[in-house]
Amino acid sequence: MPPILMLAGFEPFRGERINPSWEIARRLDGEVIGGLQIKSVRVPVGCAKAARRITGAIVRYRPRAVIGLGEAGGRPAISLERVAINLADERGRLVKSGDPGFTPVVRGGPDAYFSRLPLRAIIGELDRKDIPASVSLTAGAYACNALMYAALHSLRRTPCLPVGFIHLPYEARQAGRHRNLPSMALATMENAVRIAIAATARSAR
Amino acid sequence: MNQEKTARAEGKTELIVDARWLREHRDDTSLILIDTRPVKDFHAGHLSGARHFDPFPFHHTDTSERGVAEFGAQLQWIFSALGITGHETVVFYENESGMRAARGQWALEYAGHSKARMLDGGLKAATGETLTTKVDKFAATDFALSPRAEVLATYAYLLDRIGLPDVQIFDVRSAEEYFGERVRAKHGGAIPGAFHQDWMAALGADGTVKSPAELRAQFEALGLDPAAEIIPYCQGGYRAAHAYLALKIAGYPRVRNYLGSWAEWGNRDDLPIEHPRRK
Repeated sequence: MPPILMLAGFEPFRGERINPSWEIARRLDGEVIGGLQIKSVRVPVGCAKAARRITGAIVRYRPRAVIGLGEAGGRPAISLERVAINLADERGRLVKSGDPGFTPVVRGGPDAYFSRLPLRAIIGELDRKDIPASVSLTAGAYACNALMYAALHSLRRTPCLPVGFIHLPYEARQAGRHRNLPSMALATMENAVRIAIAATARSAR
Repeated sequence: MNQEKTARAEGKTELIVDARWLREHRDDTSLILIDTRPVKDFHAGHLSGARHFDPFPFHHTDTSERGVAEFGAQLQWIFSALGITGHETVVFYENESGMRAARGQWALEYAGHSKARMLDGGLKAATGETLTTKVDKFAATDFALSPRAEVLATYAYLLDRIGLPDVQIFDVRSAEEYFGERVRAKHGGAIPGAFHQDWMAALGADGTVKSPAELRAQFEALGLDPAAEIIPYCQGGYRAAHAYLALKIAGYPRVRNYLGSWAEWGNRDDLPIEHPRRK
């Protein structure tokens, strides 16, 4: 069996019927891209749940690479996250009071981890395919950040394994609920994720 | 009181029987009693006709595929030696509704037997019975193992589901063990996201299991969702076997005993651990 690339996608949340991250992860499950077999993992929305789920799955499947996908409604492009922080805003305090508090994703963990995906290579490829993409300096402080942080933390002793996170805009089917916000066709996003996986697989060799 | 107790027991589940049921079925030729107390207690006096099996020496904490296969083979040998065919009703007992009898019940159920029971309240409740030191002879059988995978959880099964909302992990060790103040493995701590309540909370003062309504209220107050699959664990899967019964009695349809429990999880270096803190 080829080595595994773990592809995490989130369940729909905040009343949405779909979450493009899981739609894409689900479609790619089992495929072999660049010599890595995709193992898709569906993740619940919540800091602790997401962190636990990805940590358990990483131990279980011993992946050669991990890419988390998440929805960032309102962003106009594919965003490659550069950094995950040790901060879990489980109760949405940032939205309610402007202060996310101090709860860590991992007690005693370092303040932050940087993405270990080949960001420059991915951006270059996406540019060539005319898919809008950029590097983001914040994955927020909610479940997506927690997943990225937990994945990087659990694979901290194997720094050569690529691990990172990609945020996706709303999918076109969600646009009706968010008329003033940008969205992207699922096929385009799927293509972008395939490109990111292929570039990651090359860097994992 | 007796009537009330009977009504209570009837409401519980068919996985346990009470002292009155035992009296009524005492002469039933298809009834096998298994005494799960230490061997010296058995020889000091047991229910007449009872056979002896103390599950404590049969620790089994390797839940790899090979480990689970070995566990099955071990059970097949044990239940064959106990003369179990698969057609009789088998009632496990000890002094009260404890973890030994519960482990026996769960193990036989896992092995594929459809009528494995625990005597609720154990010898304490069976007041009309006189104990004997006479050990009856019986023939060994060739017990046919047919594992019911849906009542057992392995470490890999847990890893695949940690964090999922429809699977709840339930730590039934003492608070000291859960909070890492008493460490009985290489590492202290708990399986990530586990709910905690000491297994003893399922027992009434008289040594019988609490009523289904009491248990249900207790488990729901803790946050255990009847729609979820519940996976109890402890140190060696004995207290968790008791929790398995208690959860079934409370009407939780999907329950798996994590056989490896902390003796497996806490002794490995590769499994995720959380360190819950007292509030």
